[in-house]
Amino acid sequence: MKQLLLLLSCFLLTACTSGADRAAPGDELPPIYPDYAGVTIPCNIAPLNFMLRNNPDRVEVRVSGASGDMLVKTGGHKVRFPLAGWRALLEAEKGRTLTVTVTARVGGRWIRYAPFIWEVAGDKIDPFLSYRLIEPGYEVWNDIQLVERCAESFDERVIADNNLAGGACMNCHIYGNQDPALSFFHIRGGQGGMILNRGGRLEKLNVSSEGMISPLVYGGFHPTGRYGVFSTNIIVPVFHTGQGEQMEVYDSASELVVVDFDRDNLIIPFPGDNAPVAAKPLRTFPVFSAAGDAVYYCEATEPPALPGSIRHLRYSLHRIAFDTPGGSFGRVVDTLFDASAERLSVCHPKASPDGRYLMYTVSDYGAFPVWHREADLQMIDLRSGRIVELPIVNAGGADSYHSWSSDSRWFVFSSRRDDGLYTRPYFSYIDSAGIASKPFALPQRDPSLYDYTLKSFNIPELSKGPLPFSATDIVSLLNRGNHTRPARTGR
Amino acid sequence: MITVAKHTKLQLLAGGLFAVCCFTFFQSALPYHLFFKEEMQLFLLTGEHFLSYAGKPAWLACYAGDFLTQFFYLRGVGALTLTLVLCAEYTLWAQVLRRLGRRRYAAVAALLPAAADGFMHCGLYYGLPTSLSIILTLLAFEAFTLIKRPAVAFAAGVLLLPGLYIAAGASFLLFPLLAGVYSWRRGNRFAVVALLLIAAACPAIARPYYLLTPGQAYSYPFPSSINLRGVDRTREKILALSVEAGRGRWDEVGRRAAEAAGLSNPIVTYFANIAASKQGRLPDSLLNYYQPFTRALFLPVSPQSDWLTISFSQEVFFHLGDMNMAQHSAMLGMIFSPRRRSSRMLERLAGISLANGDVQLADKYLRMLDATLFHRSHGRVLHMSHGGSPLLMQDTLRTASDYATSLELLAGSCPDGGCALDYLLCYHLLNKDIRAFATVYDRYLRGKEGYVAPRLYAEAMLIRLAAEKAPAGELQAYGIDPGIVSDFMEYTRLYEQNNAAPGVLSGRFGRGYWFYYHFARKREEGEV
Repeated sequence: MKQLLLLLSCFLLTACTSGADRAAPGDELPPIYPDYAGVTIPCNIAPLNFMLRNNPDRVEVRVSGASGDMLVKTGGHKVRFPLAGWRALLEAEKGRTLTVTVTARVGGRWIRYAPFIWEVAGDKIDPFLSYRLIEPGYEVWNDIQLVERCAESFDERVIADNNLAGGACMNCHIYGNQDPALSFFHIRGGQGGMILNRGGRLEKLNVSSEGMISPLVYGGFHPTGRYGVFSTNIIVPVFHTGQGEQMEVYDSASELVVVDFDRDNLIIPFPGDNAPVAAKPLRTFPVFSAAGDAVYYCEATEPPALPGSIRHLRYSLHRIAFDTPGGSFGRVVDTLFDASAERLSVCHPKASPDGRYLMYTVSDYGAFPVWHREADLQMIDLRSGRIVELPIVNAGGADSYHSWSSDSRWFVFSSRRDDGLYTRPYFSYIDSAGIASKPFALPQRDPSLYDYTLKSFNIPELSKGPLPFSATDIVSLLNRGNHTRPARTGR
Repeated sequence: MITVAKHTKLQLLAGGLFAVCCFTFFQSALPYHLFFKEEMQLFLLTGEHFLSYAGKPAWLACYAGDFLTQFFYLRGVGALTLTLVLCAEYTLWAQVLRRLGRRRYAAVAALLPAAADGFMHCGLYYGLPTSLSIILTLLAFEAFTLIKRPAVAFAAGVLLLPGLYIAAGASFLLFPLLAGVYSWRRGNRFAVVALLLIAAACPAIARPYYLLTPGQAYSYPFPSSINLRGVDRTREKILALSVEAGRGRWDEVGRRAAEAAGLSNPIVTYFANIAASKQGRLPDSLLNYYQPFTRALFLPVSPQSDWLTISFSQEVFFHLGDMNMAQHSAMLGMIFSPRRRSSRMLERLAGISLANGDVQLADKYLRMLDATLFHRSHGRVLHMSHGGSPLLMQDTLRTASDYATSLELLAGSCPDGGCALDYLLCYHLLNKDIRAFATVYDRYLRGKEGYVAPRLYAEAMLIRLAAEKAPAGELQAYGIDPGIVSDFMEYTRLYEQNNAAPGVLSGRFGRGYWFYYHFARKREEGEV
């Protein structure tokens, strides 16, 4: 059926010819945005709609594969592929290479650009992702929405909206195991708490205990879903005066805890070192290992005086064992990457679900890489301990926070490469040898969306399915206080 | 009996008078409110922008209203557009009242709702979408009355209600009231109750889709607070300063600020300070204005600040060359603007990016401005580009309210201190920190060839020299005018003789620094 659709669409689209056929082939790549030239894409991704920056009045795009061609003609500068034909094409071309030829009429003259390719990977990407839409307003908000987007189409729905929650700040939405039935996010303010979606049931938790320096901040789930590991942080925002760097956010104190959701949210503290508060190490960005037998986290062992010596604040990557049945930390801490010695700082580590890689963000200093233009993604091969730099993935703007797909072949990350300020979700493929591919931006129905939106897409996270709750469920939960309530099932 | 011809004449007369009054009122009393309403929105001629209106009720009223509001950018067109819209509303009200059986008084009575709606436009947040929302509802009622058979009319009314809510928003609640009265008069009493119940249910049913609170679902696109106080003349004067500043007419800002000096308003002073600084006259004019310590040099931005203050706060940073803080403030101005998008803030963000050399970011903003009718980048760049003060390059960390650090770095980045130097000196003087003032003054200005200290600085320096019991040579080193020294001695004599009574000193010395130094006190709210 899909083949038939593809053939039919190709027949319809190629039924007429135009001046484009007479255009002489050129050497230059077309000036397309987003930059989709030479990327590897999953076979289930939504159409890579794009536009040309040089204001053509006619565009023809031919996507050629072994199974046939798809020709799209458009009267403006935006190229939109029909969803059904696109899906059939990608399904037919799994594991193969598509050649894309763009011909455009600019100023009355037809130009045929040098063709580029799309590698269609047979590995599917998790079909859903969530992100937070917020203006890059220096930690200040007015409208915040947590959104779930289907990566296979352009369907998007709001899963939490702070307009319905009294304008409270909402932190980003985090999945466990890329499982839509296991996720959390924090709502701040008087009505707030941790919104926990576990097994499809929604709860609002107010997790705190004496000695915790703040409510829960960064964290992630144990693979079993029983535990969550979190940092508690006293976060201080300050401003740079010089050009090129706008903002710095640092912790004046931070520590780790594990919360046992099965034992009435029992808090398991990080092994103490009895150091005075002023000299305590700063620990943050904890996540469990893929097997759940360890916690990876970042630590500034001897933090300098802040904020004066902020450029000397560097976090290294550590691992501590975790006993799953007993629910306790081990006593020995391993340093996986002594970033401080390299004059780098590590943030946001996350293990691939197959346990092979640990990807993280490196920047020159500090713990808030999204405001660091030099921030790049990097990973460590956990089998060999080898650091894997990802030059093809990283670009000029801040490349930071990432999330793995459940098959460990894809990851999504937030990047400011487009304009230096507004983060966009980018996807990249990692093959079985650990070789990454050139990333591509989350496709949009209207390819000019990124031009005209003033929102950042924060903390993109991949998921295997749709979440079992909606924005109105969150409001109902907030209005009911701290009681557990079942979430709706199904989308 | 009033004949149809008389009806028409009366309506034309009343409508004509109403139109003249509307245009005269808006053009003479609120021209800058109208300019500013255009600045508060960003209307893009793109498909994506059009579709974005579907995310809230009243999409048609809001899209059409915002489309028309963009023409407020042009002088006089705002008042004209409002007049035309209100006249259309008046005509419809007159027609509706006739349908409801009030033929004799319809032409006059219709003035009331139309004038009431016009009165609401005195508020800054009440806009054309609301008036168009009412007009759409009245049009729907007119269409409803064209159906003669009661059963068909009722069915049409039921079908019309959801669509009307989607297109016109909360004003659709007028429809069941009007249709109910109309149907009641025709004997269909069941229709009244049924239409009211269905209308009441529509917002509740649509609310989850639109992600609105119950209050918002029943009031959109009406603003959350309605202005019932009429014309706010002070705000009009402040908006005039802001609009003229946004269009780069700083001489006009200075002139208008001088006229409004009597308001003793921090925002008036804020714009006056910037205008004076642009002319290199900040120390000369500083104390001609109400100065609530440093709160009119830099508008404080906090969770308690209103949006207007937040949106104005970027102006001084842009003028001084502190682009990070200018960007921060402009971003806040954008985020907290009523529509979360503001053409004025976007222009400023584009200007900041251009000044910073952030080409890609500037391109993004300019592309958006290119999609507007009146803010296209061509020809506007001059207004957006930075005036030439050196940008703050040296890096350190500071909090948002640490103005002194910014000013010190800015002054240090320019051989003669630039305009930031006057701001820094005045900042210390308004804080009554004579020691800090003297340190900066000595670093940059003492002994500077050809430099004659403005009276403000000379007066402040005399306080310092007197406190330190400095020798006469020190006095000469600062080149202070002997006349100012004589005044100082006279001020001191009067001050001591009258036991520090301000009344005796205010006449002659009220605009001087010695008087400010002695008598300016922070009120509990933090103002002088």
